[in-house]
Amino acid sequence: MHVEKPESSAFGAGALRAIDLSIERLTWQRTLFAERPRRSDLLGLDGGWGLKPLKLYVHRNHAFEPVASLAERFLAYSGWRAEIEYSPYDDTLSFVSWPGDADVELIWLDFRRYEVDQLFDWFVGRVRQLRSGSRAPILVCDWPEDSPSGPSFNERLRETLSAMPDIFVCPVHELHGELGPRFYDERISAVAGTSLGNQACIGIARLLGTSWIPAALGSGVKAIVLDLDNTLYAGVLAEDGPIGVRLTPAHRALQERLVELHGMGVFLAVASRNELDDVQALLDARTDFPLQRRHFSRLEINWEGKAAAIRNISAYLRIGADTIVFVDDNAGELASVATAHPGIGLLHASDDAHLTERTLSNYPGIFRWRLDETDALRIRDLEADQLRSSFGAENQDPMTVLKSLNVTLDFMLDDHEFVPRVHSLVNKTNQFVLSFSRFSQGDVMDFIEAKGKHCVAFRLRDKLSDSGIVGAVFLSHESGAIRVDEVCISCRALGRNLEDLMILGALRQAMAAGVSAERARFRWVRGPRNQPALQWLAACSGQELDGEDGAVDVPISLRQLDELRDRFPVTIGTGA
Amino acid sequence: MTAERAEIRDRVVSIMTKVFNVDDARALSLSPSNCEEWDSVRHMEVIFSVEEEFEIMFDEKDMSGLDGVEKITDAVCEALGSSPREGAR
Repeated sequence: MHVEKPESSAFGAGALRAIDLSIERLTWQRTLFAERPRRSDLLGLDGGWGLKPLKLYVHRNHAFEPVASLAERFLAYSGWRAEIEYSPYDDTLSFVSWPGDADVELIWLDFRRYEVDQLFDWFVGRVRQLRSGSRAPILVCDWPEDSPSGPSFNERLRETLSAMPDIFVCPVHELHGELGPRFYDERISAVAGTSLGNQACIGIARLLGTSWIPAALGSGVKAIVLDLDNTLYAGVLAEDGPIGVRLTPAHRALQERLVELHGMGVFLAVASRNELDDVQALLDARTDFPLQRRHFSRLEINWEGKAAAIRNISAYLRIGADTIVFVDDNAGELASVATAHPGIGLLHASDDAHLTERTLSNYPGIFRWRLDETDALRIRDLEADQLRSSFGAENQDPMTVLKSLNVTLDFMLDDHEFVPRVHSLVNKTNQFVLSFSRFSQGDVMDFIEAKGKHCVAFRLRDKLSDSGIVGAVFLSHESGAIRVDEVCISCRALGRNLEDLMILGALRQAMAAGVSAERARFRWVRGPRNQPALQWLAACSGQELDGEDGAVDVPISLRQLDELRDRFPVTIGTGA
Repeated sequence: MTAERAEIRDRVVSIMTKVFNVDDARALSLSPSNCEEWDSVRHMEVIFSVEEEFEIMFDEKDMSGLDGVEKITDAVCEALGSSPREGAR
């Protein structure tokens, strides 16, 4: 892949290095996401871009090393430098010599070594034991077995473990179904310490490195920004015209995948150097395309740079560039966007659109362990927000606007049902977050269950849409004071003048349930993008927030919070 | 050495450079006795990579003997039915 680099006088050495590393990462695509990746090609990859350390602890009774050497490459693509530690080979899962400080725990067992009849209850008990001692996400590889025992075991395992927080059952059996007899290779077991064949090791490495582990750690792509020419179809619109560009079978498959992702709540947008009239004509004429106009939340069609287009899309969707994947066939465009938007995901659209589709399907942050209600609501909520904005423009008084929208705010105190959504919010919110606590699901459960702690989630809806759970307040209480450990609000809920009601209303909920306090102490940390949260806190407390972190006290009382609640023309509920 | 065998050996050397992260010259002389990193996992990596490269499968009984470029090249040649090293018979 050749890239024309910008003139060095336009950028410092650091920026050019960042461009080099972004392009280097793109060159890995063809190897990592080949239809049948080759071990020696994967071993030849050596990533030089900034990687975050990730401690992975493997609880095992057979070798993981044949997978590990490959998983390291896929994890590097996902942004992590894996530091893998192993338990002894232990059929009993005794957790002896387990350090307990991993970022991810992986249970890696060859279930064929056990008596099936006694396996299930014992195994679930061991997983519970690990859950009680570790705050990290736990991945459990299921049983790749096609005898009658395997499928029923796997189904029970998934049902039972999915009820526990932050535990994910990896469907290795699906890969076994795809590979058939090639999954196991008994020839190599004496040498390798495992019976997994080469393609099984490669497949599991890819799934762990780009899908399962990133999803467990909360990585999530919110939007895909697409080029048009030679990306969504073969051909150039300005030369071939709307009818002349070709929807090849591979491009059809790519578009169908994008439609599927849209249905899962991923925004789609276009950034294309074209005439707007030509693109409108394309969208009108090509009813054979799986992607239609209604699938795109934003079209940035002009002759400006794509970095500016992505800035506009990011602002319109109210999401950070680090939750966007940009897909383009032009490496120069990818390089310029990489410079302007550090942290943005980049995907080179190949002339082989099947490769593009495979890369997209396996891109870190695309796979999710669970879809929560808010994923599906996200796109409809954005459309409703455009209507709300026009409402606000016509009616300048915020209270009049709120009244006309029939807003309802439901507060849920210590409710297990919302743990996954709250966990997602507290880890992904960057603008309205006070202390960047980034709690694990285990931590969230602790706030819900522990004496002296509470988690209050709140849900927002109006006559235009239901935004779902949009925020949470985490608090502890002792000696007449509330310590607010974290506040997070989705950016989709901002701009409606409801921040006071949401946050102080959450405190009111806790106080109405028996928490007694005369003041609330808010912890805060200054981050690169959480100005909205800090500005709110400064206004609420009447104090300036100096330095990089601190705590401020806000006097509160139940009567005062009741008066605040009554000032807003908003229905307050408990979500029942 | 036949041209065919030379080409096979070059491809084996290329695999060894990637598995052990060494240059060609070092790869040529590598063996478990002179390379600490050549453990059972690396041995598995070499076997899998060579099988992939040449689309062959070694017999289990032959795997432990594949402990250097020349022996691996001989085994690949035999599997492919190619000319062995001159003087090897």
